[in-house]
Amino acid sequence: MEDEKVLENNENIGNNENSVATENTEELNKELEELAELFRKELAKTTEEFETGGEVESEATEGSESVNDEEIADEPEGEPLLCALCGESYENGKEGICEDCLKDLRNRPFGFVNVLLVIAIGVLGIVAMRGFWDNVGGYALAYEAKAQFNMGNISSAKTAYDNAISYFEGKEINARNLYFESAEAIFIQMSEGSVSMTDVADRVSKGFDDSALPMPQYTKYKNMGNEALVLYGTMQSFYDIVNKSEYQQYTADDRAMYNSIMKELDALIGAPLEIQTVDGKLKEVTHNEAMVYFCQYMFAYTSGKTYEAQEYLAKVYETEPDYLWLYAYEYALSSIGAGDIETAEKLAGSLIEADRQDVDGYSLYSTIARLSGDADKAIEWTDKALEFDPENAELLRLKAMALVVKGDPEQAKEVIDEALTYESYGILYYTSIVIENELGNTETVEETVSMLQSYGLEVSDRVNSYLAGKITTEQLFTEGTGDVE
Amino acid sequence: MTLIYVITRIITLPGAFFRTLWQLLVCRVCSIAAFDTRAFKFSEMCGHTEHELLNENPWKSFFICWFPFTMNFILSFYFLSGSAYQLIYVGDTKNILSYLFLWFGISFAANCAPSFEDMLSFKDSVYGRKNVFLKIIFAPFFALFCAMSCLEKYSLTFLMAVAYGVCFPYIFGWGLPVLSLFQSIL
Repeated sequence: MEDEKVLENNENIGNNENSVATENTEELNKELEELAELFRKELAKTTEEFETGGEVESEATEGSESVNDEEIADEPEGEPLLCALCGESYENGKEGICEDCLKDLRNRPFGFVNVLLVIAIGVLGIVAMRGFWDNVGGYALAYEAKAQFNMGNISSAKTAYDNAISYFEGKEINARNLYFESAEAIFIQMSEGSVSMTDVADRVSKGFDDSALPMPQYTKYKNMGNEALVLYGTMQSFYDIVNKSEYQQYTADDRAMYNSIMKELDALIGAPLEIQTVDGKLKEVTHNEAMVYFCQYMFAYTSGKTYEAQEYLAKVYETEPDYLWLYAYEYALSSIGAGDIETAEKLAGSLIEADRQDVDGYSLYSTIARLSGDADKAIEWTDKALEFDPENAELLRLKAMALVVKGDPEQAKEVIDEALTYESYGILYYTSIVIENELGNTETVEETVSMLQSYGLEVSDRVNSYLAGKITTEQLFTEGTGDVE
Repeated sequence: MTLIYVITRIITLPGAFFRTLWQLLVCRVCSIAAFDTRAFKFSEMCGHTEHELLNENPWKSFFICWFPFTMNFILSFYFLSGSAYQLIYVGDTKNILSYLFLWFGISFAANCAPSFEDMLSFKDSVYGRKNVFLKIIFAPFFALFCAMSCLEKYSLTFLMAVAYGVCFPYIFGWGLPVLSLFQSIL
């Protein structure tokens, strides 16, 4: 019974429990349904939001490609960012820096040290300009010298270089480049023979002092200086030979002695010669062949061996055609005498090309023009040369001869008288004799002839022929040698 | 290329330093924010002051290009006058001060150009506007700054400065007779 009651109770409890459980289940189900409903709503809402949010995002992506640097640089207003300097957040700024920091950067002080440095560089600049100003006179002389040299006016360049060198020597400044360039100007002309050769070597030596760096551009001048020393050494060897005791009694008629001297001079070609180079070193070289031939030409000419002299001069031309100063004028004159006007003109052109102020070149052109009968052209050439050298007696003599050919002996007399105030030598007087004779001043002619005879000078054969009436002045000045000798 | 550029700035140290200084001075006077005022840094801005962009103001962008160019050019002229004539024209190699001034002169000449960025700012500020008058008057300056900044990008201004220094006596030699006459009058 009790069991039945227990069971009944249990059943009742179970029934009660079942009823409670049933009621709970229903409530739970109800809640679950409500939750499910809520979830469905939320899901729908979220889906809807997702779909609309993706379109917005895609619009933003497309728009960002067209944003330029300015828009990136200008930060959007209202978005708080951190300043790269102070780290504070800011709204208005530029290039990652807040407005306050930008203001400080704009007012950054220049700095006392920087001011001192500016002053220091200013002072150094003034020192540099002062150094330039102190020597501006010398620089101007150097500029003139270089300008004259570049224009081919070698004579004017030489004078200007000497002035500039004197200026800097007075200030104890070693103007190396001026020494070298003036040596080059002298080397082109060599107007004073052996004196010019030693002058070239001296100037180049001055440029090569102890502090000279071995710069490649100086090699040219070093070689030029050494070449001048070789030329000088060769000339000295020539004088040593002709001044030997066994040749003291030499006369132009002594053929044996003449041949002996010439043989010794021939032996100089290829013979060793010791020189002290411009940088002070001893060096063994060979005698300059062209200079040997020129020395032989000089010896033959002074010995009266004119034909042989011309042969030696031709050898100089063949051996060293660049040594215009050595052979060109004499070779051109001998070419004129031989009727080779073309060679004479070529040499005259070469002389003027090397030096626009080379009087010899203009003299040759004047002579060539006079020989061809063009007196006006001959006068023109002499006038051009007289611009550079107005007191050149030889130029005035050539002008006087051209004036006689032109038929103006009065003006020729003025010109030759002027020449005689500057120089007095044989052919000047011979020319004067011809001009005075043209003017009919026979007394003056006789006085001049007597004066020359008193000095042991005889009038030349060509002038004697003219005075004897065998040739006219035109023949005298335009045929044969075209000169008074 | 940056390495070569930095090396040439170091070789031309005085010029690079003073260019930075002049740019800083312009920044100070014109109220331009200067970010990095170091003269030497391993970048393409070595020898320049880094500052804020100046695309809006054509006069500031012109000044930042023109003032350092002019100051360095004048200084190069002073130092080359005092050295190139003595050393190169006349050949006096014993004066040590001439070597120093020659280095200064070449250094300043090698650091006249504005930076490429400054040149572009100048271009944008002038030629991005509609003001035709500004475009015309700034045209020669722009051409000069553009050419020089392009050359400096490849460190060619250094070679140009060396050539300029060596040829300086021959370029301005024509003025010597006039100056000499002026000195004799004084």
